[in-house]
Amino acid sequence: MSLYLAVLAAGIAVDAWLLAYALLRIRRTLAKLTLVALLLSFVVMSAAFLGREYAGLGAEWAPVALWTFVLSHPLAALFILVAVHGEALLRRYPAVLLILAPAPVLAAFAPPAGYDLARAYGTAPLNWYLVLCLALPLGEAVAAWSRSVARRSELFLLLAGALVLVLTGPVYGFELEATGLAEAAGSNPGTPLAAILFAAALTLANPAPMRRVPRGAAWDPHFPPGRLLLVDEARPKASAHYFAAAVAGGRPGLKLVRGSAAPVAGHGSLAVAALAPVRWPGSVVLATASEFLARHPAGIVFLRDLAYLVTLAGLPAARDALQALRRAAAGTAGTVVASLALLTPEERRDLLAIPGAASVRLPEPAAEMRAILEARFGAGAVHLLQSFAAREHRRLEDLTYEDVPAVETFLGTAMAVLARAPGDEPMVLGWRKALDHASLDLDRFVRRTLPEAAAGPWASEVRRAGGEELVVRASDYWHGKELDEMLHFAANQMNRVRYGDRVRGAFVQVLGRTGEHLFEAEVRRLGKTPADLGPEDVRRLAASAEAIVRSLEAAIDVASGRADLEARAHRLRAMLSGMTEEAGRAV
Amino acid sequence: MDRWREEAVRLGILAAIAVVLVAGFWVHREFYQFGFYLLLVVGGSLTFLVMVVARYAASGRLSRRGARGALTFPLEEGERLLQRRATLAVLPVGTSTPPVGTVVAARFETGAEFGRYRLADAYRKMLGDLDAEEVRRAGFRTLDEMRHAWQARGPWLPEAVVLVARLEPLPGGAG
Repeated sequence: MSLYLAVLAAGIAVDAWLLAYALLRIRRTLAKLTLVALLLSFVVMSAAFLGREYAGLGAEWAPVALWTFVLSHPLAALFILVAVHGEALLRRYPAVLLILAPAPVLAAFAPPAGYDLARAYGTAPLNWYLVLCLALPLGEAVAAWSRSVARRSELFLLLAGALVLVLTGPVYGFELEATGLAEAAGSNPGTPLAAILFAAALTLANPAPMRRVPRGAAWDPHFPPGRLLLVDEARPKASAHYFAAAVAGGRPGLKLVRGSAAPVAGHGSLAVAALAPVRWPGSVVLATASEFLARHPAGIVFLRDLAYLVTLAGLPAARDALQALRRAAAGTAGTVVASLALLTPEERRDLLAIPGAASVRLPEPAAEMRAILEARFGAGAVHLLQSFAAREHRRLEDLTYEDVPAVETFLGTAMAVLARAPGDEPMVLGWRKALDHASLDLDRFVRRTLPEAAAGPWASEVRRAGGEELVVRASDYWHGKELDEMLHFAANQMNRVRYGDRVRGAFVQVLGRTGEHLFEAEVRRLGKTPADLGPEDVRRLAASAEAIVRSLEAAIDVASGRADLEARAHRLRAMLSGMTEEAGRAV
Repeated sequence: MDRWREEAVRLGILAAIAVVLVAGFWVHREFYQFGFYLLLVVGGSLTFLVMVVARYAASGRLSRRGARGALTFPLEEGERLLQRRATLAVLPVGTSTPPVGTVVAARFETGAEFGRYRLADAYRKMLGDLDAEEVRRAGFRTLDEMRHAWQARGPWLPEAVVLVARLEPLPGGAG
């Protein structure tokens, strides 16, 4: 029996190590608690058995060995049920805790001589209870494993663990009893193997790290409670805007984004979790969402990068994960929002057909802003918007709802420039009116709730359908002069001011104070002021700066100094040519 | 010599599994008093299952060396990967990739395999949203250069969604 003794002792060590590991590493609260309780019962059960059989512990330890052995069965059942059905199991079906109830009842009504540990699986009604506790999770694990696509591997590990407990519990106990090896009966050498499988399942489906957020509002005007909402949009901007608005209103929100596994910060009632490139992304997403919704049943889970899940796990697994999330949100005040951005039309159609999922189509904010401005200022408005984007070192398509206040300020400045341009008083008045209308439209666009935005009408679609005839355009105030030309003029004026600053910045950044003097001298040589500089001047400045640097290089004897100057010249040239290229694209 | 040693280890493991299986069948036949036919069916199925798993494991597909899928590249893109000038591959969105973390065989369009890489990450982006770092990692100096190279696949549409695969060459697996 010394080999068996060693196996049991090693099993205790493994179980204890896994217990500590689960406490430290596993982030699923309820599943962790049940696993820790199960491992604790394994450790006490095996230690009490070893002590009784081989270390001469007294008869008073017999009930400890027996009842921890009995308790390990409902705990195993509870753990597997929680691991399979998620953290919401106890909230939805608290009756599942009744699985623990028969243990004290059986203890209270035990036969006068007590139950014999070695014959626990052969004594009714105790054995009925033990077999039920093993059969129930085994059946659940088999059913879930056969149904699920997103969590197949994780559920397989849980199923394998349940199977190991059955094989090394009643089956092995029966064989020991039948072969007369009664000494080992009542122990379970398979506990470490089952524990390893359980811990592996929880580790590989460990939720992404996220900060704890305070409890907050249970409602917001944008997202329906208890639903899975699929947002059909080109880029995840509109969904992110409404999610941010809901979170700013105090509703707890979890944003799941693509990123490294490192914890991602958040603020207020916002938690951000990053989905790293993992083998089981479906399990990780579901575990993360499930953990957050267990803490905040009225919270919102926002899957910004659903396309990443589709790429990593495949479309069937992503669909399965969304269906599981829909079930998790159903009947609660929580909402799951997923953006369909970056998915192909076929993938969108497939996901939009998920039964019970709500869907909305939301506009692209950059296109809306452009359409709103075009409705008021005509086709030339795009120059102003492009000028604004270039000033912010961004592209037109990167503009979002959050840029609207800055766009309004920029428009105000541009209009001030236009007001100084040659023209008569009615024209200036017209500009001001058009600006007021455009600002009002932009404000109205930003302030719309998600259902209002989804219902439309969208400025971009109204214009496409030829609805602009209804709009009073600024050109109506302009006496026969071309409006687009004026807007182009305003945008260029704004860009010119910017060019002077940017070119000076490049010179100073690369050449220090010398760069500033060089810049001033070269601008004077061109017969202009920094505010008058345009893209065509930048090209000439770059050429003359290069010539000066070359002459400086020739004057330096030290090779390292020459190399340094050459590198600086190269950098300056790259920066200035970047500016001229950018100007070429913007025009 | 290494190949023979590897083969000997594989055969040794298979032989050990066979011995354990026979011992297990003998014990359980004695214990449960199985009949010949039942032993034939149960034992045969179990042996078959174990051998299939062992064969799968021996093929290297469970390890990091065995390729789980293949990615096909045009000649220029393959060359960039081969010369270690690129670690990112920008592919059409419909490209099927094996799970992240597994090994892929990289092939030229002609079918010749030129290396094995670990698929470290795979995500989607719009062509126009690729940043300077991604362009550099894809083996291009500028976006214009990439745009020019892309013409071989089709027109450069900034709104077109592409699959970006991060590939890590395996030691001795590429080139």
